[in-house]
Amino acid sequence: MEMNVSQPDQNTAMIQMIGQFWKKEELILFKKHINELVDKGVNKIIVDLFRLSFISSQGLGLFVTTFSELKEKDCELVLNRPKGCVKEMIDLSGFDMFMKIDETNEES
Amino acid sequence: MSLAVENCNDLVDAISDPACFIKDDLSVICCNETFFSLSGLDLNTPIKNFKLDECISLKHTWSDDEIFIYPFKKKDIGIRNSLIIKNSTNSVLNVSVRSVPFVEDSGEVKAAFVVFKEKVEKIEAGGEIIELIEQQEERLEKLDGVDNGEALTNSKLKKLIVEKNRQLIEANRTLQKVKEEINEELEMAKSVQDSLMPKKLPDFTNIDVSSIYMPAAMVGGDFYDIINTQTRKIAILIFDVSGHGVPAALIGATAKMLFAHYIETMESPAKIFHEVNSKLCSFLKTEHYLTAFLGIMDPIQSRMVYSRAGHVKPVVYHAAKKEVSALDVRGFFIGHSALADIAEYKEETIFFDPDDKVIFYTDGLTEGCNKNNELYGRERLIEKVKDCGHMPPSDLLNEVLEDQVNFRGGVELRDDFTMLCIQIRDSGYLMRQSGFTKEDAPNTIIIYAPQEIDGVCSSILKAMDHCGFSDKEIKRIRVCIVETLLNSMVHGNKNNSNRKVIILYKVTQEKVVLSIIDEGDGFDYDNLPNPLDPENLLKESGRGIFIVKNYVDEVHFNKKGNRILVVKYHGGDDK
Repeated sequence: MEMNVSQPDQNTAMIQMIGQFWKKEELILFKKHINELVDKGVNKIIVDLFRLSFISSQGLGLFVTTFSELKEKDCELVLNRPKGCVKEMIDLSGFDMFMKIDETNEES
Repeated sequence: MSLAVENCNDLVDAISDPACFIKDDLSVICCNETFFSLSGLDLNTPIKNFKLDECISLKHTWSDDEIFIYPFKKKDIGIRNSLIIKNSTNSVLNVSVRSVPFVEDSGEVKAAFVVFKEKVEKIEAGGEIIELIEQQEERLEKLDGVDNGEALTNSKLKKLIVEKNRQLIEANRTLQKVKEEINEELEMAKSVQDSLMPKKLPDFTNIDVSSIYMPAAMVGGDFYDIINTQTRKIAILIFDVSGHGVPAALIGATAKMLFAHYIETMESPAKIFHEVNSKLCSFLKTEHYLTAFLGIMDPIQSRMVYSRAGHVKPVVYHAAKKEVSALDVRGFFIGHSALADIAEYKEETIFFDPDDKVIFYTDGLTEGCNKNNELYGRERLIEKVKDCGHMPPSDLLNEVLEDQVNFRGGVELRDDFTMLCIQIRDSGYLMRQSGFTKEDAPNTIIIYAPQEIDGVCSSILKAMDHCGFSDKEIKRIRVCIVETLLNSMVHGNKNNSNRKVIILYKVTQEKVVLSIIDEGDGFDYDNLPNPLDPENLLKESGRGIFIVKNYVDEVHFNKKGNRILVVKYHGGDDK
């Protein structure tokens, strides 16, 4: 899979996820990107899921723990534009009960 | 491996072409049935009274001609195509005859293995070739009779003795140094051999495995291995390199690497033997060779395809009948360049019943001697296996070992030996555990690590696509496969990559059924927390099975909690 990290402005970062997100090394890489962005001092991280075709419950679990950790550091995690199976699984897991799931294109 | 009559029998017996073993006086120690029937020997004549240098008549298979082997000389041993055969009408037949010498540590030829290989062409020879043969024969006879002695005077003799004494002292010093170096090398060889023996035999769901290796004073050439093939069958390999010490250990190490390589890419034992033989022959130019037995076991079907390269025949214990049989198939031994282009290997298949056992071994076991120089022998081994075949593999091997040790009565082992025993458990056990029946004939995949999950998905999803399941159904089943397999590996097998996960699946146009079994202790699936409860919403884990339950029509667990069975009906209402 691909993870493209960008920083549209000083406070906001975006991680574009492309492909499938479930293997151990992919989870580790996501965590690494998050830590680097936090170190840079961003206060909002948008995870763009539009081109993510598959996620496991471990991937979802990582989004949840990342959300909690970032919240403690006054940083917001937003899941953006999930679709298909990924959206189904996010909805099933009740993410909308505790975090923002944005259906619009934040980049535009 | 040492050369005893029993071993000779195994070597010649494994070959379908006429073959025999001869001693250094050219008397025949033993021969195979093909040689015996073609030689026209009287069945009542003891084979040991028969000498290869006496003109034997071999009735050849491709013609009814009576043919005669050109008188065989000791000098011919080890020379390729050294024999020319002429028939009664003085035409010469181009028959390939190979002889492989068995050399003692002193360098002396102790025995030779001789194999006659048919060549299709027949050379009509005129008097010229016959004359050539006769000239060669005369020349060899003259050489035999040459006297190289020379009269020596006393003073010359004295000088010679002084010189020889000086040389002896020098040689003694060199020998001491060499001995130390050899001891170091032997230690190294021993560590090479030790490092290549499996440290722990893998666990298999319906196969029990046990092994015993008994080292002798010298480093031997026994090796064995049990390898998972790419399609999750089990390769059982045992081989024995001729000779001892550093060469045997190094050749064994090389052979083991080659076997491991080809077992990964092929599943035909005969083809694997052929490849290993070609490779070993291409770079081994020594007199060493190896005998081997390779079985590729399908544990689900309780079936083993096997090939034998001159190795002692493994003993099969049939549990239901309490009988024993031998795994016999013909094939040349491996790695001797004199036989490189004529070596052939065949394979056979055996189906096992529950609790059947196979005992693989090397000849050091049956060639253990007592103080009267009697061999332990295959018959004693078979009797012991008959008596103790009902025992678990490790107990059975210990019984055989104890029997052999008692028989030897303190006489040291001349050769190391290895025993390996597998027991085939009831494959119905796996079926019952899976929730399928044998009649369902589900497909089976065994995996150990998350990297293998993609392959499982590919097999099952292709079958679903073929049966007309929708994209949405296929994607959801993919989620279920990944979730259940990760669950089994992470929570069931506790990330232990030596533990396997067995996937049994069946896809029809009506439904897809998956059964996933892990080797963990199981857990309480009935009381899984609901991930939507407020106290669980922010927990890292606990969503996998919840999602699976939402994606399929039925989810069943076994009592132990280490198996999940899911059913998704084709076109069923989405939840």
